[in-house]
Amino acid sequence: MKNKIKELRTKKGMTQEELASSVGVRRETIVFLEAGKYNPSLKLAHDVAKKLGVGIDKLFIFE
Amino acid sequence: MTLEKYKKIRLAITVVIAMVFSQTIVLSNNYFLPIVLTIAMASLLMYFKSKIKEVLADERDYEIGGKAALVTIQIYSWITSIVMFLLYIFRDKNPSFESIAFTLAYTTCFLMLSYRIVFKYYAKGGSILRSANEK
Repeated sequence: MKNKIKELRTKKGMTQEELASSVGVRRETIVFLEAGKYNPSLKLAHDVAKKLGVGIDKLFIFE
Repeated sequence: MTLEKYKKIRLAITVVIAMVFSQTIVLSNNYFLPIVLTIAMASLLMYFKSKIKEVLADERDYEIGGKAALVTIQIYSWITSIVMFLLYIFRDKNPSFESIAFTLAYTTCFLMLSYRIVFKYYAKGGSILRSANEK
C-alpha cells in the first residue's frame, strides 16, 4: 500500500518526530509507514490523515 | 524525562544490582539485602518510567510483540518436546532423565495453556491495543 505521508508531511514542514508524537506513536512507526512497510490501524490512519489535513482515501493509495 | 535518560538510568541500576548481588550472595551468603535492593530499584524504575513523556510502545510494537511471542513459544515447544523425548528414551542411562523430561513436558504444557488463556482474554477484550491507542 503506497501513501503520501512523506510528501504531505514535508509540505507542512513537520519532522517525523513531530508527526509521531502528535499521533502518539514512535518515530520508527512513521518511518515504516512512509516506506509503505507497515499497514496502520484505522485509528492511526485516521489520526495521521487528520494531522496532515487530508482524508484517508487521499493519503493512502490502495492498489 | 527523555527515553535516552531513562535507558541510561536503567543500565546504571542494573549494574548496581549485579554488583550488590555478586558481593552479598557469593561472598557473604546474604539474601536480605539483594531482595530489598531489587524491590527498591524496581519501584524507582517504575517511577522514572511514569515520568517519560515520549511514547514507549505503540500499535506496531504490540503487533510485532504478538508475532514474536507466538514464534518464541513454537520454537520453545519444539525444542523441549525433542529434548523431552530424547531424555525419556535414554532414561535408563541416568535416573534423573525421566524427572527432567516430565518437568519439561509440564512446563511446555503450562506455557501453551497460559498463552491460550491470555490469547482468549485479549481476543475478547483487546485491552492492550485499546489502552495503547487511547494514549
